[in-house]
Amino acid sequence: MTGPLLEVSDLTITLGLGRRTVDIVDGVDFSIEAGDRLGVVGESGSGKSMIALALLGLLPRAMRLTRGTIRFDGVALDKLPPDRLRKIRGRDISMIFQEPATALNPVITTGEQVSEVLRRHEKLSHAEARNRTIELFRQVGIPAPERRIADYPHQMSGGMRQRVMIAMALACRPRLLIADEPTTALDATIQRQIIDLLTRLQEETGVAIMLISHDLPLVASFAQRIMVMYAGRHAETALADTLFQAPSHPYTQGLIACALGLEDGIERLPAIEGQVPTPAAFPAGCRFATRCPHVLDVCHRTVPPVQQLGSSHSVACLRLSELAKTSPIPQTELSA
Amino acid sequence: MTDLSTAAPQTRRIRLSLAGAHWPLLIGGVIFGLIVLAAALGPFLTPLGPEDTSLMDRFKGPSLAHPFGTDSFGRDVMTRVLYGGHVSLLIGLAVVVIAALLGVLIGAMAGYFPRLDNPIMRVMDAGEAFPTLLMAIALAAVLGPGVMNVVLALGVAYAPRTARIVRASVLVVAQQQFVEAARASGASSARIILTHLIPNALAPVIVQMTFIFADAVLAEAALSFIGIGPPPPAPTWGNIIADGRTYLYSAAWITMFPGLAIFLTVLSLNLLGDGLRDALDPRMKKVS
Amino acid sequence: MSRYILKRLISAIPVLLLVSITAFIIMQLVPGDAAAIIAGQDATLDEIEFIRSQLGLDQPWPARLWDWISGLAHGDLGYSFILNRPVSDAIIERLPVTLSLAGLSIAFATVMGVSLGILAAVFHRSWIDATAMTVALCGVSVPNFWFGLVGILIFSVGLGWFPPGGFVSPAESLSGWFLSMVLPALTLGTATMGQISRFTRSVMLEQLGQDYVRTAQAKGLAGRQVIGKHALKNAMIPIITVIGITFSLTMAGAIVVESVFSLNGLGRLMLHGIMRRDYPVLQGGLVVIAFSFVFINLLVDILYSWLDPRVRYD
Repeated sequence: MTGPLLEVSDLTITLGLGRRTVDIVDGVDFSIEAGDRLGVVGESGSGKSMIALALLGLLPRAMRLTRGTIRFDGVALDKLPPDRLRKIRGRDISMIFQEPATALNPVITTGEQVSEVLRRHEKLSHAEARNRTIELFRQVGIPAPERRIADYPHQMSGGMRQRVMIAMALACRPRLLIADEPTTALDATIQRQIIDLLTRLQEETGVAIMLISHDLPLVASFAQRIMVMYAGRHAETALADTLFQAPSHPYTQGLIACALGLEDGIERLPAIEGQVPTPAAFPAGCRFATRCPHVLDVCHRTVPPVQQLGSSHSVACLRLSELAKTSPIPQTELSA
Repeated sequence: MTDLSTAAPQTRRIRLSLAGAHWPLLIGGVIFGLIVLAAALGPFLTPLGPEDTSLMDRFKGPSLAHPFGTDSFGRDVMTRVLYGGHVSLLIGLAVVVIAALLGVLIGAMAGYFPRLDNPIMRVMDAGEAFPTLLMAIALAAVLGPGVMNVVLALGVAYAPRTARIVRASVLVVAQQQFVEAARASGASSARIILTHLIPNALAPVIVQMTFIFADAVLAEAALSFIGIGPPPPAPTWGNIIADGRTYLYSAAWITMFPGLAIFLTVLSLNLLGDGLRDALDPRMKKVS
Repeated sequence: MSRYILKRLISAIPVLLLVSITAFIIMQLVPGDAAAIIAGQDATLDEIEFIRSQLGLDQPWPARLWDWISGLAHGDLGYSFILNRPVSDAIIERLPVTLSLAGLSIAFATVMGVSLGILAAVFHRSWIDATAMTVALCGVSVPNFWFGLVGILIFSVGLGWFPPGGFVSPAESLSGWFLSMVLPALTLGTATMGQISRFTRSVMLEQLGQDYVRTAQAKGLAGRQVIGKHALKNAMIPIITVIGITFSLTMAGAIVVESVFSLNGLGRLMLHGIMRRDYPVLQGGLVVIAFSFVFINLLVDILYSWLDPRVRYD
């Protein structure tokens, strides 16, 4: 292996708002190694789903990739002509969406929706694709797969539908799977099952998974590394353990406090005040400045650069040196 | 995340569709305005009468003296088209008024009185099982030729369409709180229907009226063409085409100009209807 | 599935009954003495009385209505004294012409309309969209009888490609039948084509914005599959309904178009019925067209349940 499986640098996605434009994703860097489990966490509006769509070249019409590179296995995806990108989509990189009820085509059988990927990319015959589909259904834990492949999406439960989506995504043994809020539309027990399934399949197939969610504890239970995003910018990236022990960005600290509060059943949540601003109202300096408990004047004017705290820990906060001290991070790692 | 991806394109779409909604409205309005003006001022624009014959000038092609040429009786086709516009547009307008009055009345009753809803709408179903034009043909045939009969036939035939729209809108509005409040404060049903329900159904009805106008002009022309419209020699666009049809191969202009007049009128009304719908109905704005 | 069809068939019965009654009522609006009008000016009083009793006009209206409805149930549409034959015979004789015309025109309108609509939606806000929608707008705005006359002038008189009118039976010559039908079918189909393409565009635009389209793209399917298989399969469900509704437009338009192209179909039979005050023929024609409309919509409903798995067993 010469480099990471996926290497994204300075990714910037611009949204046209009338005559104005806003960078809804602004200069984001990250990479995923083969077999890696990366979690991407952020509230709605943080730009995390747009990154996922940008990787596949599926951004909505109003948005454009204006800066940065996406290299997958050494190939610059952002420069690839559409027909070559189509050969990669669904085969090397596949995606699971949030709402399986609408992400599946309501008038095509679930089996057909899985087997058409196999026919498209692996040039299988109808009969071969059908057998593989049954096998995949079994692999993702759908009971009686021979019968269920004839079911339409509305005949399945939400959890089953998401399993179909997973089967579809894994059909061609991709090297990278992007799961965008795969459990948000499901109830808690089903959520657990789906995450366990993803973990098991990841271990079995060695596929790298990028799990996108607003739910930090859920992501932490799955991912080895976590990237926290806020309003289109990178806030903090760290190994899952480090992130919980030594959150260094005020936003991450808020998220964790919030998550721990939930876990302990404490009534008064130390939640972060306010909401993510809409793209039209993104502040000029640090975008978290409007909600940050540690905000200074300078934060409103200056965009915080991403600073390395360790080999796999990076934070974008102007007050990093002061705020990181409050967390139990060993000084040696800080100075490294 | 989801609110970002949906909110953003929406702002873009509304802006574009406002720009998009304006030009059909504008073009349709200008063309239709010119046609109405020409039809209204027809008698002043041409010195000739629509039934003035001149045997010396039969079958003259378009020229300066007769821009649209002359017909088999030497009548000036432009004069006839202008006068015909007068008749055709008035018929269209009368049809729209009758269809709207009937439709609003029937639709409001069906929407407001739940007991009447089913019987009324089943009758409307049966009425709509006959194609509008066929219904009009049958009624006109039975009632006999004549302007009033054509107007009545088309007006009745288009009523179910309007009724359906009014009913749908009334059903929605009748559930809303201000209607409850009016009812609680002792307002009569008639008063509620007139002051609350019908005004709220107005936007879709106006859009529908524009389309019915367009359809009625087409239908009246078709009725005239097959000989059960207003009887000749009264000039309607359909009558002039029916006259000219006999001489299609030798004097095509007699047929062409009134046909173009119908086409332009209906086209402008359809543009107007599209534009009005986009401007008045916020739900449609998103779709187209 | 078969139970669903049976249910729909049964639910059509009251509509058919209402339609029959409506046709009956329309015919009661004839002013004056229908028997005397049918018999003509030279008829003797005895002849008028004979026609009156044959038409049942000497009976009270409930009895006449009952005769009419029970006759219909047996396929009896009444008797024409002007043609001197049962109305149903006259209609059946003319039906192939009208069915050819209506069938071909709907086929043309559907293929053209759906294609234009898809193009307009896929190339939304481009010149292709603008062109397709201008064609559609002209289609719904042009008076069909005039369009037919222009067509005759250009393609029959000018270019000599098609006959200017008349019907050739497909049994006689298949190519002759087709050539004789091209202009009438195009003429009759333009308005429907315009409606279908306008509707297809808005439905396709809606479908192309759905999540499952993004899934299909994420799977790496080619654009043709995403649009033609995934989006169109969903869009066809409402489009089929509109095609069913435009059938009524087509049947009524047929009366006018048959007249333009001198086709002896049901429409012209009814038109002659009107001219000669042959009310039984008019009434019979009305009911046949309305029944066929109800039948087509039944077919649409069944097709609907076949296309849309979600309504199949409801």
